[in-house]
Amino acid sequence: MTPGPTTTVTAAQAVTGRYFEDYRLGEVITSGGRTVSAADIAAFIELAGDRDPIHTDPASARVAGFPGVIAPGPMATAIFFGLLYDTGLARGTTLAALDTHWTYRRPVVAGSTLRFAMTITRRRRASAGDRGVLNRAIDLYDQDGIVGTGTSAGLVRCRDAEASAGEYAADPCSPAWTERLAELLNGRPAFVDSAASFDGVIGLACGDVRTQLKIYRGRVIDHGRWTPDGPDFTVGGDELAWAELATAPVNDYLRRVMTGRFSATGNGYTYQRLTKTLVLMWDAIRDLTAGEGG
Amino acid sequence: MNGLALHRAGYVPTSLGRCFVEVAGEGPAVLLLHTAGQSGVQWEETLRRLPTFGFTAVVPDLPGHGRSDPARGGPVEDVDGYRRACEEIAAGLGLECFYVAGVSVGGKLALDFAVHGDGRVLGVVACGAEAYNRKQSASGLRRAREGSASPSAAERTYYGTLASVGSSVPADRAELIAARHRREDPLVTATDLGAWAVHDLRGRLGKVRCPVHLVAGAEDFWIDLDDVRATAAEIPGARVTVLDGVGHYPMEELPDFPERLAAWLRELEEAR
Repeated sequence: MTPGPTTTVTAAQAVTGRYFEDYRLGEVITSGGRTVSAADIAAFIELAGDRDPIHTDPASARVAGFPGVIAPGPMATAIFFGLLYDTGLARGTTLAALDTHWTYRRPVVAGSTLRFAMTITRRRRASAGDRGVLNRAIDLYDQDGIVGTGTSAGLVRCRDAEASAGEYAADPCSPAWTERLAELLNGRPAFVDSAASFDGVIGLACGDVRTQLKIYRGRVIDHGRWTPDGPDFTVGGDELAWAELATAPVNDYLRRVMTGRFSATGNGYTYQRLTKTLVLMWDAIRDLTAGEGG
Repeated sequence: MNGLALHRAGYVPTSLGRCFVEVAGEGPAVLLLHTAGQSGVQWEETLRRLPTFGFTAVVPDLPGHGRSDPARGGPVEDVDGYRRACEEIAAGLGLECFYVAGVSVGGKLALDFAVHGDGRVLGVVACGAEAYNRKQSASGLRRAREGSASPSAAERTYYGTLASVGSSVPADRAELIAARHRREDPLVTATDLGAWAVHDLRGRLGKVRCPVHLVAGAEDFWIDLDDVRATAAEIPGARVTVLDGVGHYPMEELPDFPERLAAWLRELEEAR
């Protein structure tokens, strides 16, 4: 096994959590609740040092438009990681948090009971082979609704050092994923017919990961991060939108377009022209995802 | 007497051309107004079953739609034009007073009847409509009237309709609704949607003197539920019903829509 954090962690802690392979694209994990007390907020402020009056002085907080003192924003993300620990899923298998991007929606106050719903939005094995990156989209709730949303990537131990067949299915728009999608599309007469008069490139963007499909007379004849003339248009959404549609009970791609979960840039005419082609492409993406196995 | 014997159909002249109208039943008349680009076929079940609840169903194909003549002077660009044509249809049929129920642009048209109604309008059920729709782009719809800006119109209408029905609708029913919509004339549809986009009844609803019931599908992304509620708040005594699992076409999506509509109409009767 590759030396590194993996061996260090296993030496210190029994593995009872989930390995990289145990997560599924689109899977939603929920936590228990934790009620935040005034003492919790005071302790966090003491530790972090953010003594702004909106966190310590009720009158100042009211002037700022809040009903009373509010917890510092980062306390919400800190509690997310605490709730994640409490799920037990990470015990002995999590190696590192890689990033956190967060939007504060509503303040956390004393008495708020927090819990999260977390969706697995990408699972990509690292080049080292014994570890992989899990991308996660998080909704953090209190008793009245969402207080914050965000994403966080974590580095997780793999059970096996070798990738399993079909593992690419949870890594949308990656090279192996694109190659499999091209195979699927070329084997589908309805897709080929829908694009039979098209000569161009469709770009796909899942979060920051992009790929392109060069299509000529209905067949994908080239694909990759670059194509000679680039995409006519690129259709994309964030990773959560992809994970949800890829695993939804029905292919409601167009509803998600019309409600803003997916959008396009580039040649709008060609994009509209290929509406049916894109619906059929999403049929294939959903089948690719379901065929991940296990 | 059975329903078929009571069913009659024919053309009524209007200043925008002859309009095809189906009428069924006896009792108070209810003008049933279809959505953008569509025809009276959307009210087929209601036309058949509303008469069993003691109402006369009156289903026109709006000018330029279905079996009506292409609208004189080109597709109708404003809701007022449709309202005047409907008033001519009502007069042509000899209706002294009537209820109006409509969906989408037909719902907006029904609301317009509430605003302009004299004593002839007994009450209004407006589905999938608010005083002003913020979700449409009038300039985009203007461009979409040209085929050069609006490719694959039939497929986009088909898939767009599938996307617009609610999650409670069985797949075969959703397919039927979408297949009906695929028959539309894209020029008429884009013009209708443009009329819908620019028609603004905000600030004019306080003078409504007939009872109004606003109905919205909980999954209807064409409208804004908060705007529907704000519209109701402007109309004296107006009610709002939100239908779970329903999208933009409640009269096509709900198997029991005729029963529900009859109940709403009775409430309007009592509210008068």
